[in-house]
Amino acid sequence: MRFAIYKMVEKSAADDKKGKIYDYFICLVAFISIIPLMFKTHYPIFSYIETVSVYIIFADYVFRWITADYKLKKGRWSFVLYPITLFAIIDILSILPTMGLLGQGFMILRMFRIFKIFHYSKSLNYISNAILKEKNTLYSVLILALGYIFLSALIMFSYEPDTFNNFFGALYWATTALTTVGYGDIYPTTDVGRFISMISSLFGIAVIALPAGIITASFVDQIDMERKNAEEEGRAEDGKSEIDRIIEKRMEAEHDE
Amino acid sequence: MNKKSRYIFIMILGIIMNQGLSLFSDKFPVWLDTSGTALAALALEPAAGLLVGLVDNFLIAIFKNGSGSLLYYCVSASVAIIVGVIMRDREGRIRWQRIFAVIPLIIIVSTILSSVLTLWYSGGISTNKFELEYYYYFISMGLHPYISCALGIGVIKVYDTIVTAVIVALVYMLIPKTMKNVILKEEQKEGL
Repeated sequence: MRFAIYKMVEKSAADDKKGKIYDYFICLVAFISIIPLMFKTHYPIFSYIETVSVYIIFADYVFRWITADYKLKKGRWSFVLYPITLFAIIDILSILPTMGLLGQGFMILRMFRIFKIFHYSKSLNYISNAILKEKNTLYSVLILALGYIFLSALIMFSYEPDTFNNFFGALYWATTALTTVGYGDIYPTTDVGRFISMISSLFGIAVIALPAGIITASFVDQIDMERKNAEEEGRAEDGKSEIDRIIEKRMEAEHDE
Repeated sequence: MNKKSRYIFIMILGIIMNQGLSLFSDKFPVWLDTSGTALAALALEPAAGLLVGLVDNFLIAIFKNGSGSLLYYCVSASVAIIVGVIMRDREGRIRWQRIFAVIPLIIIVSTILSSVLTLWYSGGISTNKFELEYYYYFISMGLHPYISCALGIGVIKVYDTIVTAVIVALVYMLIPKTMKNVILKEEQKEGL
């Protein structure tokens, strides 16, 4: 029974209709469950949507937990390790506010349910893998940006103390200038300030463009790698998933016995 | 009867037992809302018990308490796991003598879980009138409210677990042999 559940909840193969239906169903439920967050007024129907969707998402969580040994392949330890995996934490965080254990301020955690779609989306998996692969480079860019924001805010705060209420205001201005957003609520009034603002905007274009380029290049690499692997393993032709291969292995093992 | 039909039959029976027998909790100092869960875990496997408990909990949430009751699922889940794992040996055969270890274990685990949840949700004031009676009894003895809550819940769990064990054993013996997962290991070899 557990293996049947595992087959159902895991990403389905191209020819697995039941699995595909389950995948779409969970994605749909995840989406419907966040619809109440889009309204200011709380309609009674939202309570039912919340209850039903939370139970379906929780059932999916339980299914994944009780079949964790197939996925994580660490024997009985898989059941201990599963709750501390990334998707399991996201799932439980998205459910907790509904249980009434967390205050109203945490209700926004419900939006994490949309991450359920990550389980099933190949493209989103590529993007997350691409980000993970380039995390060191992205950290460097982030540190560079944060360093520049801090420095320019410090200079501006020194030259134009009257423009900002406090240092946080200067940081806010530096961030909006670097990202070229420029709301216009805070602006430099001295020539030095305007010069820094110009440099920030120019530097910002480069800093913002860098991560986009890095992630895109890594994303393309991921797709190429997947394609090569598929060709090498012959998956491109038969369209078999990991589950199908496990089943085949089991059948072969039974046949040998 | 094939395996699929057997699973469906036992699991539906489990849900009906949970829902039906829990109606007695207003009149007697027992919950009986995990009897079907235990039956499914015993007759089939722990995963079946977990599913029965989940459906039962879902029905309670829809018709009674709302999604707040979801956390109480951990109580029925613990029953399913304890019964399903401990009552059967490695060969998949039921060892009835293990019931004397399973009953105290269920009492302890479910008392701890229920007490923590009751304290968290309502500061220790249970919704069950029998638990509440014991709670006030222990309070009158000068015990701390938290300890009184745990003891009040614990006393009812003792009654509940013993009665549940008797009911599950009787129902298990009454259902035909073809409905039970008699030789679990062979079926596992068949590829579930």
